[in-house]
Amino acid sequence: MGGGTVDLHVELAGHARAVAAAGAGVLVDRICGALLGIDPLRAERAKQLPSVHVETPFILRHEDGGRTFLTHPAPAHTVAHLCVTERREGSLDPLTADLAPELWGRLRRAAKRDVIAGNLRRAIDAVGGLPPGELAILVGGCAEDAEVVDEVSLALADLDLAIARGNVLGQHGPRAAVAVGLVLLHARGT
Amino acid sequence: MSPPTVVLASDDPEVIRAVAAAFEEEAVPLSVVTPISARAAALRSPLGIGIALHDGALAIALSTGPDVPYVIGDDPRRMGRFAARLAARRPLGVTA
Repeated sequence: MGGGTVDLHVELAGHARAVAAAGAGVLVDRICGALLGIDPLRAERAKQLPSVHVETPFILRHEDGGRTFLTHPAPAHTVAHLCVTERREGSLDPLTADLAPELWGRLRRAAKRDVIAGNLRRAIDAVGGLPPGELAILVGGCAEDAEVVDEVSLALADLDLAIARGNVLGQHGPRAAVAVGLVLLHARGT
Repeated sequence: MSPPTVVLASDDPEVIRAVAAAFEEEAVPLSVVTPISARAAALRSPLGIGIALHDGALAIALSTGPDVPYVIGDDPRRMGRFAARLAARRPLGVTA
């Protein structure tokens, strides 16, 4: 699951098949950007990070309706705005879109479900389906987003697959799977 | 019972007129008291927001949190608008 395509590689009983479906991470960026009225770079951040609404200088409302009560006031330019937040840093990036965080969270997850999970289903259908109980490993930049993994798992629940996030070479996380695969193929001289 | 107002602490008629005009535009109630600190004005405000002169400029202070002005500016009309919007929970229109 990369920027431009969702690529499915299936290897069952010694037979390998590969299908590429157009539309992945960048398309989700574009959708998020259009919904929020922001450029693709900020949209990529908004796609990956949770949002809050700064109700008052001291109260943040989260996507699940929960509240955080701050000990120091939020910056004045964030008040009454939907903000992208980096939880670890506590930073607030205000957006001009007049959306409640609950609604924005649902729209963001729907974009991931419709684009990425939808394309994965198309790719699975194109290879004639997968046997129930089979392990599907998600790799690529999109797989770093836990929300994408959740949405794919939920959207493909009817296929009875075990869906997991890959960890390339057991240490690189889900990124760069194709590059690592190409290097390994080259090293093997195939 | 105290009316839900933001408190402006000033005796300068020009400042009072400009701030009151901004509050009227934003349809937020304002009450005016004699000069005290912005924090003290905020503590008197049922909405927890006070405006007062601070080091030659106008300061908006909150009744809770650190005892430092929340926003500082020179233009009374603009500062009035910020304080009124803060009370009404509308975007202030300030940039970072």
